[in-house]
Amino acid sequence: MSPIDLAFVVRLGLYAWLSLLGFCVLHGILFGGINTTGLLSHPRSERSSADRMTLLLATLGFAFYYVTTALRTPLDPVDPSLPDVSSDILVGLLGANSVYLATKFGQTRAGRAP
Amino acid sequence: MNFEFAPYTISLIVACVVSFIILLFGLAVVWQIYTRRLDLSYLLSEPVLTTGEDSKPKASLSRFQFLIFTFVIAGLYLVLSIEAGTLIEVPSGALLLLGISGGSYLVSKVESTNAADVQVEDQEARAKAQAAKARAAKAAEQSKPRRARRGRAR
Repeated sequence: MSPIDLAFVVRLGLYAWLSLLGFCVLHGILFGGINTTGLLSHPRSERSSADRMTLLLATLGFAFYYVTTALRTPLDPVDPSLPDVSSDILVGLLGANSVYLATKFGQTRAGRAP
Repeated sequence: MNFEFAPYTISLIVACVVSFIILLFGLAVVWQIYTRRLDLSYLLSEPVLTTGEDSKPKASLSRFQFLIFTFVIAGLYLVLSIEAGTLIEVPSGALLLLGISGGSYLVSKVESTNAADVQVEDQEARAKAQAAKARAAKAAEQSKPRRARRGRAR
């Protein structure tokens, strides 16, 4: 076995491993193996809330955008790196997270016994 | 018998063995998840706030976000490193993003754990108060016949 063959096998193995791991988690989320009850509602209420929906959309939207950008952009042969994240997106995600945490704090403290 | 290997052959054998072990570790983890020995049921769940039959753990959005971002950044890093043939750089923006997500997860976890602790303390205090009330009521009932007897004797 030459080093090139070995590299090919390892490359294939790592892709397969990453895909299988992703598949296991996705399968669990889609078919109930992983508990997702109340993902969009606060711990003390059954109704879904806007701040959680905002954070969910921001997370999924950003993840999709980042993956497509990284796979479309050709790698720099001299200094390869992941694509940078613009400050606008970071501020947006920071805002969504802050609103989510603030609402969570408020809801949890409102439900506590005096 | 005289075994002599060229250094190149030895390094290739070592590379093969190390690669095999790493792939085996990865495969073992996936196999354990598949056979449910590694239980992922509560991967996204928060600590339970109430005890009793109706207490169900709820999924946390911050955990979900952390999971997605970890998969995205780590997966892309792995794929692009393999394609480039070298370890690629991670820009500060991506690290900051993981930091925001991790910080949110941490704060959320601390808050949930505190809330669960307070809930348990409340329940314990309520249970103690009920027990004390029951004891007082029992003592009062026991003292009634004695008083009645004393009253009759007078």
